[in-house]
Formats: sequence, C-alpha cells, structure tokens
Amino acid sequence: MIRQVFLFETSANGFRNVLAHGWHPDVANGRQDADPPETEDDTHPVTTASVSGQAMRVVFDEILYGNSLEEIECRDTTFSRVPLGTTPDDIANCAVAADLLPALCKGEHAVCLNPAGVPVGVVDDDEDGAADNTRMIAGAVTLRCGTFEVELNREQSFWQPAGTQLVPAGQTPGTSIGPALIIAPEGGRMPSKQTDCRLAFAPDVTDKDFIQPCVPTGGEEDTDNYGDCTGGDLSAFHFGTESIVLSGSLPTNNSPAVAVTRRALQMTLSAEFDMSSVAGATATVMEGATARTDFTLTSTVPRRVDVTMAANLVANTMYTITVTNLKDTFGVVLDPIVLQFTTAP
Amino acid sequence: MKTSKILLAVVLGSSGALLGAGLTTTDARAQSSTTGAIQGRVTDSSSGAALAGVTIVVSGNSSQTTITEEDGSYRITDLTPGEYLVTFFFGDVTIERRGIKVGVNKTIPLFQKINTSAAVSETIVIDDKPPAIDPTSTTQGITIDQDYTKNIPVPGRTFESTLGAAAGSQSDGVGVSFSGSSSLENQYVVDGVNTTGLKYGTVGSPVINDFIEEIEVITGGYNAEYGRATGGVVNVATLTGGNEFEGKVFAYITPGQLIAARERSPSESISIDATTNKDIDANVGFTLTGPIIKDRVWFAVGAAPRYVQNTITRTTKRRRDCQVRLPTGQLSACDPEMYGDGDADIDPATGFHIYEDLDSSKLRPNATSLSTLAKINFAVKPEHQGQLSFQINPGRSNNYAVYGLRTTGDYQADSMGLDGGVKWTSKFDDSKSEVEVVLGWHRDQLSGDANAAGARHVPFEILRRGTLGNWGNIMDLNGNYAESEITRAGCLDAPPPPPGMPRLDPYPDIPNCPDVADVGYRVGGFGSILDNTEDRYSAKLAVTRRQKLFGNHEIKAGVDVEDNISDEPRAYTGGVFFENYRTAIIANRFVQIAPQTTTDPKFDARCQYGSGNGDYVPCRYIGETGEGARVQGETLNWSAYLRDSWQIRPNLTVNAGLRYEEQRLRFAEYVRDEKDPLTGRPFGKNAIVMQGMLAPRVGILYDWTREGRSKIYGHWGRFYESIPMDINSRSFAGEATFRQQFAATTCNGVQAPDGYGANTGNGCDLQSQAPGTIIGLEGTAVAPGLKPQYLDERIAGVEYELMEDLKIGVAYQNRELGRVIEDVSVDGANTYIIANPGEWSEDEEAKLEAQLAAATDQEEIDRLSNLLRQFRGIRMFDKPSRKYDALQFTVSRRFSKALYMQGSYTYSRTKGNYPGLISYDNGQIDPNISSQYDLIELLGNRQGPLNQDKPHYIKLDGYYKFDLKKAGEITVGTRLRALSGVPRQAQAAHWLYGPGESFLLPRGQIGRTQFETGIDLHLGYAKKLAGNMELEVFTDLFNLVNNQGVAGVDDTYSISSSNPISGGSYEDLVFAKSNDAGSGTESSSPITRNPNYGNVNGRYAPRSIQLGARLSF
Repeated sequence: MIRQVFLFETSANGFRNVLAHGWHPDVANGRQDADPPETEDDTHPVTTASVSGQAMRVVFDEILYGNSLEEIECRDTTFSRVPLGTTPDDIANCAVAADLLPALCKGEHAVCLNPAGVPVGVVDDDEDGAADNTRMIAGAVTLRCGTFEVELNREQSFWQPAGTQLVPAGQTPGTSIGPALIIAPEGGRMPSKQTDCRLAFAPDVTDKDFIQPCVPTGGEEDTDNYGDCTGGDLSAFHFGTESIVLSGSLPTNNSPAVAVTRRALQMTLSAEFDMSSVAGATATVMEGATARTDFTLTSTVPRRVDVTMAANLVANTMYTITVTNLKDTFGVVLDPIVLQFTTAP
Repeated sequence: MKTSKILLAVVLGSSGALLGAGLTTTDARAQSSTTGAIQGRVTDSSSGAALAGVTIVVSGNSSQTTITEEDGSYRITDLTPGEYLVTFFFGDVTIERRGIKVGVNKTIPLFQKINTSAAVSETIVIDDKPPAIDPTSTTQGITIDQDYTKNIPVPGRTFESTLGAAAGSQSDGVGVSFSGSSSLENQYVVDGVNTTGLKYGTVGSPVINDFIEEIEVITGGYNAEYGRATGGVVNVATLTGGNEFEGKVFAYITPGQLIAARERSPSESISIDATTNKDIDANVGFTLTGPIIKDRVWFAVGAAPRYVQNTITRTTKRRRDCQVRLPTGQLSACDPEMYGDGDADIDPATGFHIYEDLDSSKLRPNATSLSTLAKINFAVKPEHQGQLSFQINPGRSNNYAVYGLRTTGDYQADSMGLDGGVKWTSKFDDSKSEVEVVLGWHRDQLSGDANAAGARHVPFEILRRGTLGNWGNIMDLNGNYAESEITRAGCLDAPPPPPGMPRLDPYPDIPNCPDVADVGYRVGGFGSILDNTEDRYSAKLAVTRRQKLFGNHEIKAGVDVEDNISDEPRAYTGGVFFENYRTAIIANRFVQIAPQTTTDPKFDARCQYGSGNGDYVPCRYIGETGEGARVQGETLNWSAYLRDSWQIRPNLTVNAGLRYEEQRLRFAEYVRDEKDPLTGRPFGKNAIVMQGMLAPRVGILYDWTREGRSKIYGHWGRFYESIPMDINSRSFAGEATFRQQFAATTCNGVQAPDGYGANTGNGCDLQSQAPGTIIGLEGTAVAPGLKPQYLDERIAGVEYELMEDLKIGVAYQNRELGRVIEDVSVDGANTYIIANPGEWSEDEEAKLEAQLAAATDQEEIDRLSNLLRQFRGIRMFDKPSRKYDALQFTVSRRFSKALYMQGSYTYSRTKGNYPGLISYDNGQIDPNISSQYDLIELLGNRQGPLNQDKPHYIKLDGYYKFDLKKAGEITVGTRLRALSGVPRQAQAAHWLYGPGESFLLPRGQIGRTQFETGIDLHLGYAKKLAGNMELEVFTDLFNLVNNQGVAGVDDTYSISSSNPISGGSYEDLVFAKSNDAGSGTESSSPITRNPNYGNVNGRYAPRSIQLGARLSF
C-alpha cells in the first residue's frame, strides 16, 4: 500500500519537495520546511507537480520485491534481472573474476548470464562482491499524464527498501522515510498543464505477500484512520502538473522605467520547454497601441525566449510582448507568455 | 553520544574456557558482606519440645558462645568464612558438630536434637553436615570457596574468572553479566568496600583467587542491604588470619609451547596481518595468615607478581595476479606474465583474494603486575572486633603498533589499584543487637605515554584511501621508514616496463597492497592522552536487632555514603586528531562553546558551522594542556535501608525491605560558572540529582521439611542503577567536538595521488574560519524531571535436598527494565538531552509552558520555545526495553565422599531494543550516553533478541579426590560448558555516526552463531610432608579438545551509510541504497558489501596448559 508520495512543486516559496499524498507527522501541513510554519489545519495535498527537476518518492508501508523493480549491471554492458530468493552471497558468487565464474556463478540464483546461460559477471569494480550499478526495469513502473507516457530515467529511478516512518524523520525527512520507490522522469521533465497523472506498476511488482501496490482513498491524515485498498487499485492517487509560466525577465515584468536602449528582451520560463518550438511560435510586441514588427524571436538558452528589437524603444511608452504557441518538451502548447513594461521618459 | 568509543574485545575471556563455572548455592539473607552465620533450633529428640538454655559454642577462626531462646532457637553471626566446630551443652549432654562450613553472607541452618532422657556424660560427636539449603533467603547465585578455585580449572587468575559459575551468568566481552543484564550493571564488594570501577562499572579491584577466602555471587533476589546494581552483586572476602599460622607458596606458569596454535578463519585480508600468541604467563606468590596476639589480633598478608608476554607476528602481504582457472577447471601455475589478467587472484575455496607474504617482524608486548594483600583483624572483646585491610596492585605494560608507525603506537602504560578498608563490629545485649561500620577507599590510576620522544605533542592521524606501498615510505618520528625495504618494494605499484626491461612490480595491473577493509594507517602521535585517576571514599553503618515478636525478627537498618571523584585528561596529542581521506582531511578538536552573547575573552575563536554564512558560535580550542584539558568529575551517592527478616515460624520466613537511594552527579569545576549554550543559564554545581529512588524488596519462603532441607520461595524487588562516571566526563564537562574538513590541496598545496602517503593534516590551517560540524553544538541538557533507571525482578523457585549433600532446584526469574536513562537528540546531534527515552514529565511540560506564556522578551520566548520543542521530542523515541525470562535447573553436591559437583541448565531469553550499559552492537562503552538513542533513525530494527540472548546454557563443574593413603592424593576436576550462539546482525554505517550504527535488518534476523561446547580439566597430586605441610603439583588443561568455537562474527554488512530496512530480509540487501557519508543524502548507488560479513572474528581461546605448584602449611 502506498503510504505517502513526495514530489517537487514550484511555489511562491520556491522549488521544494512536498507531500502530495498521505500524511506524516514530521512533514507539517503536508509540506516540509514551511516557513512560516503552517498550522495543521491547513493540511492539503499538493495536486500540481513541477514539470522540471521532478523526482517522485513513493513510500510504501511494506517492502516490495526489489527483484521486479531493479536489475543489475553486468560486464557485457547488459543488465540482468535478479531471481527471487537471490541473496547477496549469490551476487558475490557472480562478481568474481572471469575465470572463477563457471565454478561459482551457477544455479537458480545466478545472475548476469548471457543468452547461452554462461555467466558473464556482475560489474564490481570495487571488488566487494556487490553490484556496483542497478537500474529500474523497463516497464516496472510507468507514469502517465493524460495521453503522455512520461519517460523515466532508469538509472536515477530506484527502489530503496530502507527507511522508516519514525519521527523525527532525520535531517532529510524526504529521504529517510521509506521503503520507497524513487521515480525520476528523464531530465526531470513532465508534461505541463496536465490534470490526470497516474502511476502504474507491472503485474509482478508486489509486496512480500505477492499483493500489488494500491493506494487508499484520500491520503488519510493519521495511521489510526489509515484506509485500506485492493491490490493493484491505484485510482485514488493522481495529480496534475504546473503550467510553464514566465518566471523572470529582462527587463523585469511591469518595470516602470526601462531604458529605451533595452532592445534585447529576455523572458525566462519556469521550466524547460521545447526550444525548437520557437520556430512555430508567434510573438507580438505592442508599443502602446501600436504593433511593432521589427524584432526577432529566438531561443538559444534553455528556459529562455529572446525578443530582440531592431531599433530602440520609444520613451515613456508601455510595451506588451506576448509569445504564443510555445510548446513544452512533450508538445503541449504553453499558455501565452506575456511581458509588460514601460520605458523611461 | 557519538564519539570516544571504547571498543569491546571481540574474543571473550582470556582462556579456553567457555565462561564461568558453577557452584554451591546456599544463599542467604544478609549478614555482613564478609561474614556468615549459623542459626537453628535445639529440640528434645523424643518429645520435639524446644530446649531453652542450651549453651552453644562455635569455635574455629574465632570463638563465640550463645544460649538458646525459649523456643530453642539460636543465631550466631559475624563468623568469618571457614570451618567451625559447633558444640551443644545441655546438662550432661555434650554434642559436637564438626566441619560446619560457614560462607560469606550465608546463614547455615543447624538444627539439633538432643536426647534429654539419656544421662550421658560423654561427648557425642556428630559428623553429618547441616542442610545445604538456606531456608531464609531468596537470593540467587552461588558461593565459591578456595576448594573450588583450587580443584576446578578456573580460566583466570582473579575472582572475575570464577563468576561465570553461577547459573544465569555469561561473559559479555567486558566482564561477566548476570541474569540478562550487562556486566557494567554489577556491584563488586571486597571486604565490605565497594570496589566497582567508577568510570564504567567494571571490576575495579581484580583480587587474585589465592588471596580470597570466599566469593559470593548474587545473581538476583537480593534484599535491601544491596543496591546500586541492576545486574548482580559480587562479594569477595579475602583471607583472614586465625589462631593458627597458615600459608602457602604458589606458582603458576603457562608457557607458550603449551598453547595450541590459534585457528584462523578465512577472511578478506588487508596488507598487514597480525597474529598474537602468548609466550608466557607466569605468576608466583605467597600468603601467610596467623595470630599476632592469640585470640586478639590476627594478620593476613600476601604478594604475587605476574609477568605476561605475547608475541605479535606482524606480516606484510600483497595480492597477486598470476593465476587463472583453466578451462579444465584446474588452477594454472603462477605466471604473472602469462596469466596476469588485471584481476587479483581469488581463492575459489573461500572467495577471498590470495595474498603472498612479503616481510615479517615480531613485536613482544608485555605486562608486569604485582598483587598484594595486607589485613589485620582484632578483637577488643569477642563482641567488639575490627579489621584493617589493603590491597595494592601496581602494573605496567608495554604495547606496540601494528597498523601504522612504530613511533605512533609504541607506548608504556602504568596502572595502580589501591583498596583500603576499615571495619568495626560490636554486639550488644547478648548479641541481639549489632553495629557494623565500614570505611573504604578505592583508587584506580592509569597513565600512559609513547616511547618515542615528542610523540605526545604530535597530532594523531589515520590515513585512509591509500595503499601500504605508499604508506611504507612515510618517515616516523625517529627518521626511519614506516615499513621495511622488502615491504616497500613488494607493495610498489609500477607500470609494466618497456619490452626487455625487468618488472619492478610483478603484478603491474593490480594494486598490490590495498586497504580494502578501511583499516587505515596510523601515523603521528598516539591520540588520546591517558592519565586517569579515580577515587571513591565510602562509609557504611548498619545496625541489626534480633527481636521476638510473633516469631523471630532480624531487623537491619543501614546507611551508606560514597564520594566518587574522577580526574582524567580530555586531550589529543598535538591538540587535534586527523582523519585523512586523501582528497579531504578532517580535523577533530575538542572545543568549549559559549553562548553568542558571551563577553568572556577566553572564547577567542569562532567555530563556524553549516554553510558558514554567519553560523558560528564563540569557542575556545582545548589543547593538550590548560583549562578543559583535564576533567574532574564528582558523584555523591547515599542510601538508607530498613529490612526485616521475619521468621513467623521456624519454617516460614518473610523478608521485607525498603531501600532509598540518592545520587548527585556534578558538573566539572571549570564549567560551573559557564553558561549552558542551550538554556543560557549557568551550569551550576549539580548536573543530575536523582532522588526518590525507593526500592522495595519482598520475599517469602517456606520449608516443608521443617529441617532446612527444602524451600519454596518467591521474591519481588526493584533495583536502581548507579550511573557510572563516564557521563561526568563526557556530558558534564562541556564536551563538544569541532570537525573541520579541508581540501587536501589547501593543507599542503597538493592533493595526494591515489595511494598517497605523503600529505598530512599538519599543513591544514586549523585557525581558519573554515566551517565545520560541531557535535554537541548546543551542549548537553538534562531533561527536567529526569527519573532514575531501574528494573523490576520476580523470582519463584523450589530447592530440595534430595539426599545428604545433594540438592536440586528450579527457579523462574524475570527481569524487566522499567526505565532507562540515555541521551537523545531531536535536532540531528546538535543538542544532546539526557532523558528517559519515550517519556517526559507532563508536570515539567506544564511548568515550561507557563514560563513561556509569561515570557515577554523575544529572546527568552525563542529559548523557551526551543527547549519545549526539544523536550517534547523525547517522547518520540521508542521506550527502551529489555526483558529477561529464565528457567534455571540446578543441582549441587557438596564435597563429600571425595566428590564435589555443581551443575545448571538455564533456558533464558533476553529480548528488547536496549542491551544495557554496553552497546554490544557497535562496541561502545559509554554508560547512559551511548549512541543507541541519539538519533531517531538509529532506532529502526532494534527490537529483537539482544546480544545476551543465549537460550541454552549448560554448566557442569566437579572434582573427585582419589585418596592414595600415604602415597598422597590425586584430584581430577573438570569444568564443562555448552551454550547457544549469539544473535547475528546486519549492520551498516550511519552517515553522521559512522560504522555499525544502522541495523539494516531486524535484530536477530540473520539467525545466531553455532552452539558451542568446551571442557577444561584439572589434574592435581598432593602429598603430605612434615607437619601440616602439603605439596601439590597440578596442571590445568583449558579447552581440552581444542575446540576454538565461534565467539563472534563480523556483523558489519556494509561500511556504506544506509538506513534500516524495516522488517527486511537478507535478500533485500541486494537492493539497499547508500547515503552520502558527508551529508546523509540518499543516492541510487547500492550499498557496498563487507567481504568479511558473517565471517568469524572471534574464537574461544585455543587449548592451553597451565602448570602449577602449591606448598601449603
């Protein structure tokens, strides 16, 4: 059963890791590091996630079989699944020098076998008998937002069987609460403006009783009232994503006295977008009530759109720059980006 | 509290013995702690009527006389341990009971029937013995006398080696623990004086067995005379002089040639291997006792020097890369050029790397010591007696470095133990009233210094992340290379030479001498300065009154006072300790911290922490000398008790007692006027005042045979802990540690290459404002309303004398910790609060809330709010628990008809999350301030079978004497032990607290080590010489079958930092992820695996043979 979900949001308080589902006494009001502290009555789940720098922490109340979530790196650059019941000793037997593999790496718990069933060895550069690298098994976890399947970074996504629900939850509550599945979208990117993002697990992802993960309704606020759910039923957890909006600019939005020589106008957005979508985007520059056309629209720096005027601005005039039809990396059309300022007299 | 750990010796005990031995059992209600008593009833053999007015004379070491009461009862107390003749005079009838053996603190039941109708003018001599059961006492345990230590192969020289004889006792690597407690919870009393070690609670005065008359081992069920112990109580009575001159000269020797080779378990090695073998352990000595003035003044003296020498064979080794497993399955020959494949060779049989020896040297640490005893007893009148006693034990040891520079680890340590006691006993009113006064002084001194000149003033440094090849080129303080030329050449990592040129390194594709186990290499000075002194001054007064009132009462009241003082340094050589990680160097220093508002000029430094952006506290560095470099601690104890042993009927006794204790732990002098960083208020004098420690004890016994040959009994009692003084030094002396991390490049201009050896922390700018971590930033606070640590005990049992001299018993014992004192931190080790984990007084909370409500100054509001938050956080911690349940079956046969036997089988379980004053899991000995409860995340998976949990324990001791008449006597003694293994764990490091702190899997999840057995044998031949002189030669064969069983395994699964896997299993470790050791941040990297996890790291000692001779007269 999923007990908590942490994800990142962008808010007035900045980019921060927050509780999106469930409850933990050490994460006041569903949020960490709330400053000023909020009261418990303000508890609310976060429903919109940041679409960049995202990494979700899905906390379970029981340990899952890591065997169906992760695979370990082998010396032939492939990754190998770990059979159920495999112990660290079995892994160590398959992490020895190549000449010893045939003698030690065998049996039902052998790992890193090539298609012919011959052991190729676990990558173990530090020679400690443990695998050096693991990654998430493709398809073990999927994250879907509307029609988009969010690609996951399988190296940065991982299963962490360690962790507790103890309070206080250590110095970094977000990472000491567990056991947890860390789901890292590729590049930390999510489609923007989504209202229905959901998790799904492969059928063999189960707890030790072979019950699939599920989510209790609501995200109860304490363990006494903790709800129950049917294995595999994840319908009670879904979330939306933030829109990509203007987060900074040169000149600053609504500046009252911008120099007329400021011809390079830079608009920084709250998350990465598809820079190539600038080609199909449209910009309008209104000089008072007059539209100017002597500008170029480009994007050469991630998260930034540049409007470069061909000539100086006119003094004591309000300018409104609107960029439409930009798209995020998933192809979702962004809301128009608007920058407004007034030039100095 | 995190730092300054003392690590346990992994191997238990010093001999092959599987711990303790077992012995007789009569136990008793308290007498004096150094004497015993005889009591009983005289009746008419035909009518059964009580006989009043019977004169009873007890003669032996001293003589006493008494007359039976109206109900025929009598009681004679203050008998020094030994054999007595008891004579009953009634009219013309004289009856002698010979060989009545009185033990320490024991009441011997001696019931006598007299045929009053027989007009017998001759003396009737009765040789049968009194029952072996004390029907008036519920105490559990045994008494060990000289016969036991002479005839049973006891694996050690001091009384501690005999304690394991008691059912329910076991060695815990630090000492002998009783009834599920840790060994630091015991109290040790020698000749009535508390000699328990002050700092940790260990044995403070290791009296040798040859100086001892008797040892009483109490493992539970003791009455109100005893306190300050939640484990057992050990009473030692040294030799006492009598009216006859007696003495002995003795010698023991264990030559190294008679010690079997130590079994070594395959393990993943490092490049320095050390094997320790004993060369010789020899001691000789004498005792002499006798009268100075007959019937008035007696003396006892003894002296016994000892010499022990070991040889450490230090071998340097390297890996090799010259073999492969051929397709045939066979290993190839060793040919580096042909089979060097870049992978160090592994032994397929063990899975560990193959090493080849490079060079070898021998180090010979040794120790000399002298044990002495001097004692005078005197009797102003038979009812007014006094005693003066001293034991003085100086010692010296020479120790050598193995994993580092010789000049770093070669040092000499000197010790001096001194115990003195004065005792006075007076009896009044026909011995119905008795007063006893004991004054005592216990001193322990330990100091040490390096042999190399200047080492005391050089920082100690552990080099990590390197290889022996580079470390070997370091120069020591005498200008010599750290390692021999052979080692340096053999460990050299050199690239393959150009074609045709010879190889400097036969295995150029592998690191030859890596440090895979992170042991590191020690250089510089020797680290912590050692110069400790501890003193205890004690006084006891006890008044006993025997009174008839609805039966017989023995009412005893007493009071005792102790002033405990410790004085020890808190300083590193050179003022700093470096941990050198090649790219980064961590400097650790003791600092004293002051509140931000301080204007005291001595806080002349800034200790910056966090990001360093304005986060700092005023501080001063504590160097080798000067203020704060020595810590004086003081603890005052006092107690009072009242107890009544009420014999309602001769065969029905109720024992009831109430004990009251107080303990005051004081701040070190030099911080008393300083302000507490947390509270902002002066520390003052007392750090902890423990009051209200009321310990009731109740017992009831019934003897259904009415002859002292049985008892069925029950007992309930509460016992409070006496907090050892380690806490005074560590928590009440303003200790804080400042850890600054420097980039190696900023210390000496260059970053050391891989396998470095040259750079050192000595180049780091320690006075810089480089931010660091302050462990104990906010100091140590004591939670208001702190309550004492205690345990409750319940006992029920039956004993029965099956036949003369043979008794059997069964007892159930339950012990449960009610409350624990430990330090906790709710802010990530910035502030330590000495608290009762899991509980904080609601009254104190209300008081603090009221203060907060009344506060107007914002600074005060912030301070109180912080305090309230911290103290409330105490409740978040799991409540410590330790529950011991034991069923003990005992059998003992008193020495009779040439045979002595004692045995026990104990089935016990010890479960919980708190083992006691020793953290067996990480080896830390910091009673009441261990790391166990410091951080909430350390608590995961702690519940389960504790280290003490050894469910099955069988003990059997015995000896038989073959009388060869004039040819002498042969004694065969044996000592058999069989016990369950210890629970195994899977531990990892905690990012802040270091190795072994995180329980990856639930306690005991991995199972336990194997069941072990051991047998020791004693063979002796004695021959009477002229007069009373007897010569005995003997040998003790310890671990007869040389079964070097498993005493411990390596429980460290990973040196990576990781959090506990709640409820996890071994398979889950494949997927566990590590945390960054510097920040604690979780990573996606799997944790490393300790190649030696689960390997045997401690074995019982190999077979050894001790030879000895004893001339007694």
